[in-house]
Amino acid sequence: MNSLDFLRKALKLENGNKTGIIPIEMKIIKIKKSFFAILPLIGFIMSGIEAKATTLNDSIPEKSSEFKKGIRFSPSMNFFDYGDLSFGQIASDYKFGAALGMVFDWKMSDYHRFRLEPYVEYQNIKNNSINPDIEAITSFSNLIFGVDALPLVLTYGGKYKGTISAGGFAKYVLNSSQSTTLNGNSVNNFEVEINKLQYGFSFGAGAYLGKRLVELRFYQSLNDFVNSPVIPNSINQVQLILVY
Amino acid sequence: MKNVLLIFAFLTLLLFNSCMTDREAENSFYLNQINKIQVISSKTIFFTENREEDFNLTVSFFDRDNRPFLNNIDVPYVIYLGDSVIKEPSLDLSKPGKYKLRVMFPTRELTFSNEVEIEVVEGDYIKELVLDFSNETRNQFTLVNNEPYDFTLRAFGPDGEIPGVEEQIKRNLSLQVGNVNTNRLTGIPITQIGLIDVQASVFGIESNILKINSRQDVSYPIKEFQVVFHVFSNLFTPSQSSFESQINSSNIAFSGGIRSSFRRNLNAVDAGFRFKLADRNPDGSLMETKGVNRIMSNKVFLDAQDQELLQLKFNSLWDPSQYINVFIEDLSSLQAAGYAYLPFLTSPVVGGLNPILEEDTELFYPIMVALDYRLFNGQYRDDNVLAHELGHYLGLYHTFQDCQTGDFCDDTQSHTLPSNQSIRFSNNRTNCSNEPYISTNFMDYISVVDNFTFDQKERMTKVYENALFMPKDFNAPDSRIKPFKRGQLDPSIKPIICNF
Repeated sequence: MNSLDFLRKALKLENGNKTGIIPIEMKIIKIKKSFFAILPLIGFIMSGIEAKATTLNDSIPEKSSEFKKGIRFSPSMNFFDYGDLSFGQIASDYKFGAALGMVFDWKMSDYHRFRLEPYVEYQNIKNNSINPDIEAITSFSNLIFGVDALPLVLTYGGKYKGTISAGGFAKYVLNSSQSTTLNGNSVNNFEVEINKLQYGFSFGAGAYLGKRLVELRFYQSLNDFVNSPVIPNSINQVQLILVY
Repeated sequence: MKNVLLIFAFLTLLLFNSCMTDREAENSFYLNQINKIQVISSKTIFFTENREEDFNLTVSFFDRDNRPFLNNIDVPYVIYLGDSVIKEPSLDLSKPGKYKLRVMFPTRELTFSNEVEIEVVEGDYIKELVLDFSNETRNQFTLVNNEPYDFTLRAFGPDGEIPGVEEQIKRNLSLQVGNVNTNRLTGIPITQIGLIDVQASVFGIESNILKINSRQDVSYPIKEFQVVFHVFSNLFTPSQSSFESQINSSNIAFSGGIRSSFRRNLNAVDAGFRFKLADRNPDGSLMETKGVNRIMSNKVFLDAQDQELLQLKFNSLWDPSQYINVFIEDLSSLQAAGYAYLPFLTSPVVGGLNPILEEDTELFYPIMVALDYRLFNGQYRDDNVLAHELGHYLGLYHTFQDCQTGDFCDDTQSHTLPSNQSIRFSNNRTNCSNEPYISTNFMDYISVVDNFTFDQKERMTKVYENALFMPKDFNAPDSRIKPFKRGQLDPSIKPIICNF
């Protein structure tokens, strides 16, 4: 058992039920619980570092409020969560996408910032049956307009500031195309209905490098992408956000 | 700075858990359309044996609107026998009892099929064993040491016929054919003459008894006829080869020489009749074209039953005691390929040919065969029309004559023609007892023909020996040739018209 396994078990984040059906509500509560379980730990770590920083950086005056804006480019990995993933896990059948947008960044205090990030995103994602004897794949390509609102951006440091962020997002699917193959052969008479409005929460970690920002952010959608009577399915996403 | 990087690294690892997880199979949007699975087993009843038995499952998938789904796709599914998962549909027959079988596909909600009850039973489960002739050898009459029989055997239980037990029946079969015992149902030769009982037995249960009348074929001296084709001069110009073709086909037919894709009839024989083109005119002079007599006529007869045409043909007949007269006509008004007059007899040796006439009766009807001229100019190809019409000429009826008297031949199945045009000429027939069989007899209207039977030969031989106006003198060169007396035409005598 490695340290991460130990940590997962300590935080009781491991999903012991590998095959059972977990209702979407349970899944959200579980992730929320996991997130709130981490928060005290993060707070504890940050407060310790903050106390040390106060003693070391007492001679550099900083502005108490500041507004920045920048160009945001973010490649992404997209995958479905059918309620069978443990916290923070990435499914092996992810597909890549990318987004381009703006970042509006307000400094609220020395350690707290607020960010608003509108963007246009091209997202690929696939639904993949892993049954070894029959392969059914439904692939989607989505053009999306999204906005991330991050009211909680905690920073620490001087020229290079470490940062963690948490907030929510809303996305609207402007256009979506889909295709299905069965054992490699195209299926013509199958098309699923999608929910064009996607929303959820996001959290990430990164660093302000002067005027630039690098952040790895996890997006957990809270509603299904495909209207399915039997399969809970939300889109999970990891974005590597690069801001100039 | 070092601390910031440490925190970043820690949180990144925490956030993404540093691993990727594989999917379960049940999350496919497409495959989760499966809402109902229907399974049908090829067998539900098995008899106890010390072995394992495989069986087939037909599994159908349906979507939420109950429409067939994943047709023609080899969909993997899990088979449950009771609560156990089995790899292949197979059953240990040494353990009698009832089992429940179902299949499952791993959709999100695990879709299960209907439940099929399978039972391993003892032999006394059979309430009735039904032995029958196969369709291709359905005949109570046969010729000894000729073609072998095939039989079918069906087992019936409390709920009707037991499906899928053919292999088990074959393995445990005993078939008594006269005084011969065998353990198979097909290729059974008949080696005894007389009335033979056939009975099957499986697991100690006995079937009904089939009776077979086995007879010895009889060879008669070959009887040969000379045939003259009368062709109206204004109809078409024939070639001798086209007539030779029909004569050759008829000889092969009457000698039993035709082989088709079907099993040879149990009673197929060499009928003992042969035909050749006439080479001499009635006055004894050599014919200009062998076998062909051109009748000069300026009139076109659109109606094949025109009285004037009938009289013309009657007047044109060559001595029927010397020749078989075949007229080539336009039979489109009858929609027929040919027709023939039945013979009259001098003694009642066979049924269905009445009245019986005196030997010195003058010719009063045009005993002849008529063929449509399109058979000879390439418009229509059927080499066996003449053979069929010669069968009538020699006293045979159609096998589909009726279900009362039939065709007066025991070894041909009595039947009627199907009213459904699409199966009218099919070799797959149903007899008057509603039993299916394969017909390949020349006297039926079917696409593939290959035989005259033993009883048809016997009938034709008796007719030949007792008919008026039959060219018997040709086969008895030493006999005294009687003068040909052409009497008054009786137009009420009608031929058998053949609407192929």
